[in-house]
Amino acid sequence: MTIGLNAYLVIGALLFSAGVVAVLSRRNAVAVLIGIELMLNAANVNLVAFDRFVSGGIGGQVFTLFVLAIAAAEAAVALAIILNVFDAHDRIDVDRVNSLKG
Amino acid sequence: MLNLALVCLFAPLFGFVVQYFLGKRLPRQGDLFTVATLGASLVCAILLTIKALGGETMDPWSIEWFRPGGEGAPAWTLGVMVDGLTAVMLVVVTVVSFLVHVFSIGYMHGDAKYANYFAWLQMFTFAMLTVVLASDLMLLFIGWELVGLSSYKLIGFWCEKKAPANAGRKAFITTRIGDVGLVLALMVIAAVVGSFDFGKIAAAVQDGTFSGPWLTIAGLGVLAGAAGKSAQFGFHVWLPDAMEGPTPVSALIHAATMVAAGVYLVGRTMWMLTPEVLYVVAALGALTGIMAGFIAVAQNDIKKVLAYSTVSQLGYMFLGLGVGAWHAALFHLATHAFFKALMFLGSGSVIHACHHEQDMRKMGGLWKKLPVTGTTFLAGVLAISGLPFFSGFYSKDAILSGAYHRFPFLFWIGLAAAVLTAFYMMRLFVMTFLGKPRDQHIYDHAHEGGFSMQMPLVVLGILAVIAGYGAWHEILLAPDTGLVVAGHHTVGDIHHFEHDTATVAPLAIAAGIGGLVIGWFVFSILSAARLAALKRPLKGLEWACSNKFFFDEFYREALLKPTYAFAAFCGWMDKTGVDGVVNAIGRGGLRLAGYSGVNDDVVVDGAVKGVGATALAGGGVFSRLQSGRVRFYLSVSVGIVAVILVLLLKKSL
Amino acid sequence: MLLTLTVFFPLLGALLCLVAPARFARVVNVATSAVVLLLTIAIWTQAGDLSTYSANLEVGPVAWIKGFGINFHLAVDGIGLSLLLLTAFVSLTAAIASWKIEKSPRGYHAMFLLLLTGMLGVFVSMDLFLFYVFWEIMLLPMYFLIGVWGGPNRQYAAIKFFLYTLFGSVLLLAAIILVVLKTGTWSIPEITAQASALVASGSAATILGASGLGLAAFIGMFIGFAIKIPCFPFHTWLPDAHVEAPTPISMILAGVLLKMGGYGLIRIAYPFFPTAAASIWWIIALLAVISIVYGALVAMSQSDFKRLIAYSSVSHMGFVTLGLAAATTQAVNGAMFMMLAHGTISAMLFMIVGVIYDRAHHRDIDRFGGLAWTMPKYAVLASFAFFASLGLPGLSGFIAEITVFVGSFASQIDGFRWYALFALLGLVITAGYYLITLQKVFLGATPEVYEDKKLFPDVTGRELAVLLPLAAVTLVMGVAPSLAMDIYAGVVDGFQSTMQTAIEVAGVIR
Repeated sequence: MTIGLNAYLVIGALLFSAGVVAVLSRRNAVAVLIGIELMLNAANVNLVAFDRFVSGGIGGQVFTLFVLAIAAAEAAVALAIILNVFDAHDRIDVDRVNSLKG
Repeated sequence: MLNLALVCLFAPLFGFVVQYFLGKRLPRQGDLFTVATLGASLVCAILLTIKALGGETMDPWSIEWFRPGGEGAPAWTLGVMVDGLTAVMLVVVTVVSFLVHVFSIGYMHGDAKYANYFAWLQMFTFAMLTVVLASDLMLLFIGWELVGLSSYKLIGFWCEKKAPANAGRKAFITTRIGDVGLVLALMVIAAVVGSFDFGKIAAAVQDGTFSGPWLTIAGLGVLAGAAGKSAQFGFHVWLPDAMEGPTPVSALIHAATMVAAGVYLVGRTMWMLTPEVLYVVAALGALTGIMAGFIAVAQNDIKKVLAYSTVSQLGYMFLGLGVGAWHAALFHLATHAFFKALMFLGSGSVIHACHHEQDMRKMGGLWKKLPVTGTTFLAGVLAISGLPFFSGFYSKDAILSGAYHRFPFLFWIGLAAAVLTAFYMMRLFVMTFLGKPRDQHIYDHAHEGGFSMQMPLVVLGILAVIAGYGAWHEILLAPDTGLVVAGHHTVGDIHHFEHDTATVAPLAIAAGIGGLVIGWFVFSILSAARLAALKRPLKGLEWACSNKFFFDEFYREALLKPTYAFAAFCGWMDKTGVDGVVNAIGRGGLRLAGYSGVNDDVVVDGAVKGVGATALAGGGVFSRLQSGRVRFYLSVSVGIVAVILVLLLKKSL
Repeated sequence: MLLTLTVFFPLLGALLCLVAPARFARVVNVATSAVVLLLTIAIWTQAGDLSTYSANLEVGPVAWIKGFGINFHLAVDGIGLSLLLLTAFVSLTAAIASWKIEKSPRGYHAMFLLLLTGMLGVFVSMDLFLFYVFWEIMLLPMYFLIGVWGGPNRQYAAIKFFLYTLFGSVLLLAAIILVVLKTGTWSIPEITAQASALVASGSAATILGASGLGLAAFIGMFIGFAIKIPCFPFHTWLPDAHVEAPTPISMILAGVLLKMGGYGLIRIAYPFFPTAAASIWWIIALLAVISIVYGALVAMSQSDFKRLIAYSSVSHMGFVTLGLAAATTQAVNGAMFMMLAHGTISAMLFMIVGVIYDRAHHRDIDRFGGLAWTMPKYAVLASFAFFASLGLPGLSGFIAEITVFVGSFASQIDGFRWYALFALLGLVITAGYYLITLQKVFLGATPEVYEDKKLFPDVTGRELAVLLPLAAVTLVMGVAPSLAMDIYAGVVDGFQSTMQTAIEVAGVIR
C-alpha cells in the first residue's frame, strides 16, 4: 500500500484542527501556545508533502526549516510575554488578562 | 563697496556671538563692546551713503546657497546690494540702533540680564540690516524672520512677568500669520519666475512672464507680510502690547525699524504690485491711520499713546505707497524713525525719572525737572504734527499731496488723521510736561538721566528738526532709478509730488496747527469740569476708543478660542475616534463569528468599568467592543478565515 | 565589504554587551556606535559618485536562498548614505543618552545594538527579501526596549506598537510577494528599472499589469510605510509608544525609525508603482496635509510634554509625504531634507523632554514654570530646538519647510498647489504650540518646587554631549544646506524624472 498525498493532507488538517480547538478552547496561555505550534507544524507537514508529491524541489523543505526556526523564536518571544503577563497579573489565564480592553 | 556692506552687515552678528557667549565676562558686561561693533556698522553705513549720494551704487552681489531644484535648475542665491533706498535704511537703522545702545547703557543699568540684553540688540540690528541689504526675497525673508525672533526675545525680555511673555508671543504669532502671506508670495514667485532675485523678478514682471492673477496674489502675499510686521489694520493688535518690552527696545524695534520693515518691503517690491494691490495698500493705510489716531486719543499710558501713534504713522506710509507717492512714503519712514525714536527715548527718560511709572495721569509739570527731555520731546511733537520747518512737515505733506492727486477721498481721511495726530500729541505733551504735578511724590524724585541718556535725545532732537532739509532724499529716493519702475509702472505712475501744491500745503499746515491748538486749549486751558462736559456727548466714541475698538476681544472670541477648542476637539478625537474605527472593524468581525454572550459581557463590563466620560459622551459605543480578551479576538479571526474559505471554495466548485 | 562590516558590526557589539560585565555594557554601546559612525563616514569618502549605487562598495549579489532567487545584496547611493549617516549619528547620541540606564543594562545595550543593525540594514538592502528581514529585525528589539525599559504603561504601548507595525508589515509583505511573483526578481534596482522602463514607454500599466492589482499593491505598500512615517490616520501608535519609551529610544524612534517610512516610499513604493502613485496623488496629498495641520492642532491640545513632541513629529513628517507626492525636484529634495532635519531636531527635542523628566519625574506642561531661571543653559538649548522645529531661518527645519512649500506649489500635478496652500496653516499653529509651551515651561515666575538648584541642576556634561552635537548639525544644515543636499540630490533627480513621466502618463499633469 502506498501512502499518497491525501493521507498527509488529512494528517495536516487533523493537526491543524486540533490546534485551532486548543487555541480557542483552552484558557491557559501555555496551552494556547501549544495549539499555535500544532497549527504551524500542520502547515509544515503540508509543505513537505506538497514538495515531495507536487513540485519535487527542495523549496518546501527549506521553508519548513525556516518555519521551524521562526517557530522557535516565536515560542521564545511568546514565553517571554507569558512570563511578563504572569509577573503583571499573577495568572496566565488569557481570558482574565484584558489590559488591551478599550 | 561690497566690503563696506559686508562689514556693516556682519559686525553686529560678530557682536551678538561674542556678547551672547562671553558678554558677562567682558568689561562692563560688554556694553561698550557692542556699542563699538555697532559704531563700525554705523561708519560703514555712512560711508556707503556718501557714496550713494555721489551716485555710486552697488549692483547685487550674490553667493550660491544651495540647489533644491537639482543640477539643471538655478540655485537659490543670497545676495546683497546697495542703492539709494538701502542707503537711507542703513543710516536709519544704524543711527537709531547706535543711539539706542548708548541710551540703554543708562536705562538698563543694573538689570540682571544686562549682557544678554545687548546681545539681542546686536542680533536685532544684524537681522534688520539683512532685510535692508538683501538683493533677493529669500535673504530678505531670512532676515525678516530673525527680526521676528529678536523682537520676540526683546519684548519678552522681562519674561519672569506674565505680560511681557504674553506680549512677545502675541507679536511673534501675529506677525507670523502675516508671514504666511510672504511664504505664499515666495511660493508663487518660485513657481513662476524660478528665482528670488529682485532683478530677475522685476525682469519677469516687465516682459510679462509674471503677470495676471498670480502676480496679484503674490503682491497680496507680500502685502500681508508687510502689514503683519508694520502692524496695519487687523494686524495692529500686537504693537501696543509690545510696549511691555524695555523702552529703548520700543524705540528701536517698535517705532523706528522693525515696524518700518513692512513699509520698506512694499517700497522695495513696488514694481511687482498691481494697481489693485496698490489700492488695497492705500485703503489699508488710510484706515489704519485714522483708526489708530482715534485710539491714541483715549490712551493714558504714555507708551501706548506713542504705540498707536506709530501704527497711525505707518498707516500714513502705506497710504503714501498705495497712492504712488513712493518717494514721500519712504522719506516719511526716515523722518518718522528719527522723531518717533526720539519720542520713545524721551518717554523712556520720563519713565526712568518717574520710577517706571507710565500712567500720564500721575505725571505733569515735568518740564521743569526734565528740561532736556522736555525740549527734545517738544521738537518731536512739532515734527510729527507736521509743522512747517520741521522734518515731518516735508514728508507728510508729500504723502498728502500724493493722496490728493490719486484718491481724494483717502486724502480727506489722511487729513483727519493729521488733525488727530497733532491733537493727541499735544494732549500727551500737556499731560506729561505742563500743568501742575499730579503726583507730588513722583514729581519730587524726578531727575534727568546721565549723559548716555541725554546724548541720544539731543542727537535725535536735532535730526527731527533738520532731517527734512537738503536734497539727500531727492537723490537717494529718486523714483526713476533702480528697480522702482522696473515693473508695469512708469515714472509717471510713481509720482514725485511737489510739496507746494496750492491746496494741499495750506490744508496740511492748518490741520497740524489746528490739532495742536485744539489740543492745547482742551487739555491746558479748559477746567476739568468743562472738559467733562465737553466729553459727555462723545461718550460712546470714547468708550470704543479706550477699549481699542474691541479688536483683542474680537480675536479672542472669534479666532483664538475656536482654534483652541478645535485643537482640543482634535485631541479628543484622536484619543477616541481613531481607536473607534479600529473597534468598529472588530464589531463587524463579531457579528460574522456569531460569538454570542460576549456582547453581554462587553456591554455590561464596559458600563461598569467605564470607558471614561468623554468616550461615553462621544460615541463611546466603539470602545466597549475591545474586550481585550485574546480568545475572543482569535475566535473572530478564525471565524473570518472560515467564512472567506467557504466563499472561495464555493466559487471554485 | 565595508557595507557588510558596517551593518553587522553592531551585532558584534551586541554579543560583547551580553558577555561583558554589566557596568561596561554602556561603554561597549557607545564605542560600537562611534565606530559605526566612523564606518559610515568612511563609506561617504569611498562612495564616489553618489547619484547611483556606488560600484566600489556594492556587496553581492550573492545567492542566499537559491531556490527562490533570493540574494544577499547590499549597495548604497546618495539617499541611502544620507540616511546611514543620520542613523549612525542619532544612534551615537542616543547611546550616550542611554548612559544612565540601570535596569539590566546588558540586555538593554544588546537590544540597542541589534536595533542599530536592523536600521542600517534597511538602508542598504538591495534585495526585497533582505530588506524585509531587516525591516522585521528592527521590530523585535524595539518591542522589548519599549516593553521592558519603558514607563508605567509600557506593555500596552509596546503591544500597540507591535501590532500596528506588524499590520503594516503584512500589507507590505503581500505587496512584495505580488511584485516578486510578477517580475521574477527580488532585486530592488532591477524592479525599479523595469518599472521606469514601463513608464518611459508611455504605458499607464504597472509592473503588475493593466488591472487594478498594481494600484492595490501600491496602496498596501503605502499603508505599510505610512504607518511608520506616521501619516494620518495611521499615527495613533506613535504618541503611546513615545510616551512610554525611555528617552534614548524615543530619540531613535523619532530620529530614525520614522524615516524608514519615508525611505520606503522613496525607494520602493513610488519607484515600483509610479503611475499608480500619480493616479491617486490627491489621496496622498490630502493625508499629508491633514497630518500637517491636524498633527499640529492635536499637539496644541496636549498637556504631556512628550505627547506634544510626538504629535509635532506627525505634523512635520507630513511634509515628507507632501513633498514626495508633489514629485518636483525641489519638493522631493525638501522631503529628504525634512527627514534629515527632523531626525536631528526631534532627537534633540526628545532629549530635552528627557532631561526635565529625569529631574521633575513628570511631564505635565501646566505644572512647569520659570525653569529659565533655575536651568538657564537648558532653557537656551530648548528654545533652540523649539525654534529649529518651528522653522526659524538659519536652522535646518526652515530649509526643509520652505523647499517643500516652494516645490509642492510648483508641482506639475493639476490642482496640487491648493494642498500646498492649505499646508501653510501648519506654520502658524506650529509657532503657536511651541511658543505656548516655551512660555509655560520656561518663562513666568518660578514655582517654589523648581527653585531648588540641587534638585534641578542645569544640564550636565553628559547631557550636553548629547544636545550640542545635535544642535551643531541643525545649525550647520541650516546655514549650509548644500552639505546635506548634495549627498542625495543626484538620486532625487532620477526619481523625479520617472515621476514626471508618470504624471504625464497618468494624465494628471496640469
